[in-house]
Amino acid sequence: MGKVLPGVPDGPCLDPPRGDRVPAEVALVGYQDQGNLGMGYLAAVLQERGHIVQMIDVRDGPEKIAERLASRQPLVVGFSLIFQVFLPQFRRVASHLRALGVTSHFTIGGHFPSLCHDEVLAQFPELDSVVRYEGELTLVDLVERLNRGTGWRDTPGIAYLRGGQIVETEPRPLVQDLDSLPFPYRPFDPEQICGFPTLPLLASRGCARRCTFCSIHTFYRTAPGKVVRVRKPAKVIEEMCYLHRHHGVRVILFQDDDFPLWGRAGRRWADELVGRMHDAGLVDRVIWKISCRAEYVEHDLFAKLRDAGLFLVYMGIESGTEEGLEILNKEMTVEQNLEAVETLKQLGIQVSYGFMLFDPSSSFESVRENIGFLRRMVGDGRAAATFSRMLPYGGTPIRDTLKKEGRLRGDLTRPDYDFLDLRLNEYHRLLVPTVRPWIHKQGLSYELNYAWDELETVSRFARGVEGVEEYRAALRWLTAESNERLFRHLEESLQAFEQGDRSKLDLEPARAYCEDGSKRLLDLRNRFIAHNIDLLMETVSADCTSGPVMVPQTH
Amino acid sequence: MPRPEHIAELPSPFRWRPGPITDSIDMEFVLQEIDPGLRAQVMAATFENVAAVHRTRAEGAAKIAGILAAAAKRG
Repeated sequence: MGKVLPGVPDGPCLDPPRGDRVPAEVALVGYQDQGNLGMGYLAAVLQERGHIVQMIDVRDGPEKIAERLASRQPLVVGFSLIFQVFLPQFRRVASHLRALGVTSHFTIGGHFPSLCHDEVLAQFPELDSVVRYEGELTLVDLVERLNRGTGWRDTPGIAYLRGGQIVETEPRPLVQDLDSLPFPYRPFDPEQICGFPTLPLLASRGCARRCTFCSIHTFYRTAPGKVVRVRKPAKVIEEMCYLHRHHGVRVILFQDDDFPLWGRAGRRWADELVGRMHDAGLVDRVIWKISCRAEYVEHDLFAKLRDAGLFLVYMGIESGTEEGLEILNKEMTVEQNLEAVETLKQLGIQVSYGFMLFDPSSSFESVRENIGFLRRMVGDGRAAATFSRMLPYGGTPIRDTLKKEGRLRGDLTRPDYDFLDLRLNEYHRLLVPTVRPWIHKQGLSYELNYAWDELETVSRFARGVEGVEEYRAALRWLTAESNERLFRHLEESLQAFEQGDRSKLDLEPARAYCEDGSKRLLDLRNRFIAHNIDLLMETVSADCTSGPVMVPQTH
Repeated sequence: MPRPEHIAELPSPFRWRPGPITDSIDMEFVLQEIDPGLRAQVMAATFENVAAVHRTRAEGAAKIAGILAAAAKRG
């Protein structure tokens, strides 16, 4: 047998593609939010092998999906599940397809199916198999075995039910050389931020840390092979050029688990990446966002990255207490996190963050401390206040701990836990509806953060745009006001609840404030955009197909 | 300064259309929007599968018992 996709160590390999092979039809069903790189990679690898791939957004709903698939009867329907909470939605599609007589092989992949394949197979009887861990090679292998009519049950890297028993085949090693994979297939119009097209990209896969609430490290550590794999800077630049020239992309969102800036090797890699961005003429044509750990944020390095187009950094801050960071195994301190945020503010890089106001170690006191931390971090209005409650997702160490402690609650679609102080369960339950006017997809905090990202995008591209500083100052004032209003709501309701008074957990004042805040934001924003509309239209319509960028990879 | 009608008539790409461009990791609020009816469907499927597993085990155990009993009779 010959290797077709190089870079796979000593694992099972695939037969080389043959010209006489009948191509298989495969449908991939998943979320298309911000593009879906996982599905894009699967589709690209299948296409490289000559197969026909349809990519379908699960949000189209069972009826519309069935219309597309029932008459075609693809050989395989692959469901790409990102979050376990969406499992019922996928199952509804699968059962509808089965009811209409679709007999395709149904398989599913993603973090949750990989780590909790037994639960998935038990709850999703329409499935024939689960593809575990990185799916590119396994899915191709499965499709080709089915296409040949040879036994698919020996495919390495899958699990399935036989006679009510779970069968797991030998695990397939992770893809060691990410540059051996083709660029992801992206058959859709990019989303836009104020007219500037945006698409996601990966420079690496894997994370070296072991945060207890995260399943990324268990996903990569359970499969054989090196956990963190980084692409060559030259190949990353090639893909950036390709996205710019062929999709007109101006804003690139690096969706790495942890952008690879760790240690001296990370700095060398970043230096090369930045140097190549300048050489390729991408700087000023493209701006980019990364997600990384706060400990990487260091003034000189990030100044260099900013000058090469970095405009936004997402960090998983997660807790404002030392105990919380310890429980979550973040291996960070409160002060380190604050220092990183401060450095980014000084450099003029927009900050975005994940923060879990509630985690299994929470007490009334720690929630108060967390609010104090948020006030220190974003009280100045440089970003809107957002937070969540940690949820015990499948495959995470903290879920096992909570189970052992007898605190795990809910079910697969609604994982939950009890706080140590049971009064906090009730406070949280009552609090959630009253913070939704801020913390929700259409909430004020989300709108303010989008406005910040949009302003940074516009001010980076449209040189000469007027009123930037005035708009920035007004946005900062509004954000600071909204944040303070939210913090006060949290503090006052917390204190009152502890004293047996629930009257502060009232939705109406919050809703009225946020509706008004939303209107004020929209007015500020639209005036700024309208004032600069001619310049923006000219900037947005800049030709991306010409210019000093490298020749893109063709595949 | 722009006339007010410009604000209402911004060309499509420049209209206010907020959406997250950072990682949408927090699923808590999405979770609450899932149709509760689906959960019942999932639970039913779980119990059906548990029942199927136990039926298979019971059938297997009965067969083994039969084989052992026959072997014991033969001495």
